[in-house]
Amino acid sequence: MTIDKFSEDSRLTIAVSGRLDTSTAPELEAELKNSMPGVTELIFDFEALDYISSAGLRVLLFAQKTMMRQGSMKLVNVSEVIYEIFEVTGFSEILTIEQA
Amino acid sequence: MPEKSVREMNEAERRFYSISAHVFHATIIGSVILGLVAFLVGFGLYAYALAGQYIGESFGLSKSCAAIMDKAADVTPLAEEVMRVYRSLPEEERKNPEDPAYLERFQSVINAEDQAYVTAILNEFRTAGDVYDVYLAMYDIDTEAIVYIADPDPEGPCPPGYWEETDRKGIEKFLNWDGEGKLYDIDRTDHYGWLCTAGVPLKGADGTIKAFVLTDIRLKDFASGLKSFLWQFFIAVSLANAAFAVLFSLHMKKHLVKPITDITNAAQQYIDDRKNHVESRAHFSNLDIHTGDEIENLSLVMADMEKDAVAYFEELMAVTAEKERIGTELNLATRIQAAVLPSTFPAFPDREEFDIYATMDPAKEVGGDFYDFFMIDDTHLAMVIADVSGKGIPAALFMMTSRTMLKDAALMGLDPAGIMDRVNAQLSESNSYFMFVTVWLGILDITTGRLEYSDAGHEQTLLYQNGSWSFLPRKGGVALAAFEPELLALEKEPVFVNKEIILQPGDLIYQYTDGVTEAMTAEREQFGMNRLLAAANEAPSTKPEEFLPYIRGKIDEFVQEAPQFDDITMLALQYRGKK
Repeated sequence: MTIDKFSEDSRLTIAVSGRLDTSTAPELEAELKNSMPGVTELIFDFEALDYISSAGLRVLLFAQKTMMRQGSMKLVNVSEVIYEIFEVTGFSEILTIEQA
Repeated sequence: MPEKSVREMNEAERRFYSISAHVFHATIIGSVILGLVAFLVGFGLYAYALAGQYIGESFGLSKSCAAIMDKAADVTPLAEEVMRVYRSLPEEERKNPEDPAYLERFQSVINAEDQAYVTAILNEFRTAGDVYDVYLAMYDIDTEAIVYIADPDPEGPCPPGYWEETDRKGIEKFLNWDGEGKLYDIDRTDHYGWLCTAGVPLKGADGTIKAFVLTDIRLKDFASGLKSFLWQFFIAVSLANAAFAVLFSLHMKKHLVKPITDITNAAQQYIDDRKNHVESRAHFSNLDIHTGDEIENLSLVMADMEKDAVAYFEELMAVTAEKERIGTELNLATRIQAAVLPSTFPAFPDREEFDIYATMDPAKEVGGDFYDFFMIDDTHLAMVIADVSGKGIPAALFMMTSRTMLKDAALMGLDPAGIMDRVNAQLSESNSYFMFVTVWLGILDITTGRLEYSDAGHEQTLLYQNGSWSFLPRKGGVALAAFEPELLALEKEPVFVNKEIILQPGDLIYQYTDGVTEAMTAEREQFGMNRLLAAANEAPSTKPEEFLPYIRGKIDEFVQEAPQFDDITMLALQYRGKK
C-alpha cells in the first residue's frame, strides 16, 4: 500500500493504492491522525485501491466520525469491486461515495 | 599449510601449527642464515687478520734475521760467490740442480766457515719463529730461478747453488722492492704447495741486492690455525642461535601465543556456558592481558562485545519470555473463544424438524468471526453468523460482547431487525476504538418453516430450494456499532429490516463470512460469490455436515498453497419440517 497526500487550504486529498488490510491499515490511521487536524474537507481517492478489508473499513469509520465533527468526508473514484464491499457492509448507506 | 582446518586438529597438531612453533621455526631459519653470514664475515675478517699477522711475523723474522746476520757474519761474499759460480756455468751444466757434479762446483761455499755459521743462525730463527723455513737465497732474473745460499730446512736442506724455477713476477717484485711496507709473495709451487714467502734483501757495499733472507710459511699451517677458530666460532654461533631461538619463541609464547590462547579459551568457555545454560559470567572481562598492543586491545574489545552480548541476550530473553506469555494467553483466548461457540454436533439430537452444522477456522490465533444458534423458545431457533472488524484480541473481545448482546436481545423475544437496532445502540454507545461487526441473524419457526431474518452488513445468504441454490435477496443493513442510532435515524428508511421466506422440508440455508468469498490464490484472485454459487450447485449432498466440508474443500482446491488470510466460518441449516 502507498499513500499520497495533496493538501490545499483546509482540503486534504488522500490517494490510497494497493491493499488496505490488517497489515497496512495502521499506517493509514497514523497518517490520518497526523494530518487531519484543521482539515474541513477530507477526500479519499480510491482509484488505485485494489482491496479493502474490515480493518481498512474501521479506519474509514474513524475518519468519518472525526470529520463529522469538523467538516465533511467523501470517497471518490471507488471501483465496482470496492463499492461492493461498502454496499455489503452497509457503509454505502452513510458514507458519501462517488463511484468511478 | 595444514590440509585440515584448525577445528579438525587434535592437540598435538594444533601445537605443531601454533604461532610459537611458527616463530620457533622462523627464528631457527633466520638465525641460521644470520649465523652463516656472521660466520662468513667473521671467517673472512679473521682469515685476513691472521694472514696479515703471519705475513707480519714472517717479515719481521726475516728482518731481524737479516739484521743479526749482517752484523754476525760476512754474508754478502758467500752470496756473491754462489751467484758468480751459478752464472758462470753454462746452461748445460746447471740444468739439473740435483746433479752432484753440478753441486760440486759450489764446494768452496760449502766449505766456507761462514756458511755453516749462517745456516746455524737461520736455523735458530726458524725454530724460534716456529715457521716452516728461514733461509738465504738470491733470485736470478735471467734464468727465472731462486738460487739457495744457506738453508736449514729440516726436511732436506737445499745445498748452496741448488736452484728452483720461480715465477718471474714474484722475482721482479722482490728485486724491485722499494723498501715500503712488507715484502712478501704468495705462490703455489709443485714441491711445497701453497707458500707464503716474506723476505728482506741484503745489500752489499755497492748498494745492490746480494741476497734475501726469506721466511716461508706453508698455508697448511695457516689453515690449521683457522681450523680451530672455525670450530670455536661455529659452536659459539650455533649455541647463540639455539639460545636465541628458544628465548625468542618463549618471549613470543608469553606475549603473543598465550594471550591469544587465553582469548580463544575464553571464547570457547563462553560458547560452552551458553550451550549448557550456565548463568552469564565474565569471560573476556576477566582476561588478565597487559601486552599493551593489539592483543590487549582485542581482549578489551572482546570484553566490550561480551557486555553488549550479555545485555542483548538478557533483553532478548525478556522479550522472548514476554512473547511466550502473550502466545500462551492468545492460545488460551482461542480456546475460550472456541468454547463459547456451540461445537457439539448434532446440536439438537432430539429435534427432528431441522439439522444444523457450523465450523470456524481462524486464520490467526484469535479471530473475529463467530456463529451461534440457540432455541429462543420451544418452537423458535435463532441462528447468527458474524464478522468483527480486525483480528486478534481486540476482535475477540468485541466478538464476545457482541455475541452476548445478540443472544440477550434474541431471548428477549425481539424480531431480527429489533435485535439489530438494540445491539447497534448498545455497541456504538462506547465504541471508542471504531470497531464494528457485520451480522446475519435469522429466526426459524420450526413448526411452519417460516424464516425471518435481518442483515447488518453481512455477506449474502445462500438458499437451496426446489433443487437449486440461489442468493437470498437483501435489503438495507449496516454493520453494527459502525454508526450511532441517531445517525442512522437520519436515513429516509429504517436501516435494519425484517425479511422472510418459507422453508420447505429439505431446503437448506447456508451462511458464511468473507473469509469464504475473499479466499485468495497466490495471484490474489478471490474465490468470489460466483464460484461459491457454482460450488454449491455441484455439491453432491445437502446434508449440512457434508455440505460444509465440501465447500471448504472447494476453497482449498481453489487457493492451493496460498496461506489462509481470514477466518473461514460457515453455518448451514436444513429444514426437515414437522413430522
